[in-house]
Amino acid sequence: MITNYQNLNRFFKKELLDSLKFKSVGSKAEICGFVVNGVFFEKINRHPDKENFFLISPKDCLWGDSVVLFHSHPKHIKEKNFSSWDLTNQYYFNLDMLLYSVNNDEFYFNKL
Amino acid sequence: MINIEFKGILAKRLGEKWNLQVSSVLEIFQAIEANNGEVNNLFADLQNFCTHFIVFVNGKIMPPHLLNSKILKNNSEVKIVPVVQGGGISVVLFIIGLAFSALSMILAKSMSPKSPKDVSTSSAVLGQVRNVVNRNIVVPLGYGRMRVGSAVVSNNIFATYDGRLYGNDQNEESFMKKTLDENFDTIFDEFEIQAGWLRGLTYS
Repeated sequence: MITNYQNLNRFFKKELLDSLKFKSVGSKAEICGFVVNGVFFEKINRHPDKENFFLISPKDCLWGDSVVLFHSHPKHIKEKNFSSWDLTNQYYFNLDMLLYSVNNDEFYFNKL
Repeated sequence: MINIEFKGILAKRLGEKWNLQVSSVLEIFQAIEANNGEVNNLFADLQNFCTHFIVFVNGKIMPPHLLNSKILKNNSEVKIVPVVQGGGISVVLFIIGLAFSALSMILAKSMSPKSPKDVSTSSAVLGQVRNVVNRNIVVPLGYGRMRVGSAVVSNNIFATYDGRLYGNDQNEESFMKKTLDENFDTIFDEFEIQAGWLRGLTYS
């Protein structure tokens, strides 16, 4: 698990991280999408409780070794790091996962 | 053939793409289990998979109650994908992937072989090996490399009379007696059945 902003630059460009941070800070709902080869493809969060969860339609999903799932935790979520529900689901969809926590102003990256 | 595609952990564990001659989604898992034995290894996890996967058949979400239905036609495309979801709090409030809830139950039932009924036998054909018997069971038609054992043959013997074979000078009873006289030893000796009691009843 990588939480250090500088170390993340090994995997993601600073412009991309800044863009993800900007989107996340400006939203009360969880932002979600996929990062493929340094490009972010935002997807609609289809969860009925968008402020606490995210859900991407299976038809919108992208798959592959270079695909990274991104989502944000909005400001009201105090929890640091990935939630256990995030990690439980990561086992099933089996993608690397990037998170930005607005409250803690930190990125978290969990590489499989 | 049916084109099957897995995503997520299923792709990693079972392989991403399969072409199988199957007619239902359940048969997909049975066929893969027959090929690589991985499904049963995953089975403990499948209990937990029930809320994390969705099955698409030709691009449409398949309702769970059709899992064991013969809905797959030649060249159908089946895609089984995990639900990409998560959340900032660790309490699960919403569950979407219902497709596997029924599957896990069906798999549990269908992949547990019935216990064959043990019988004692003096058959010389199979030597000292203990025989098992169960009438009218399904016999798997295997292909590929496999290890086989136990119930590999299912047979059933019955006699019928279709009323066409005896002539004007014979009635049904005499025809049956003549037929049995001519064929009794051939028919039953081949199966090594000690049928003296039957012979006695027939000729009394």
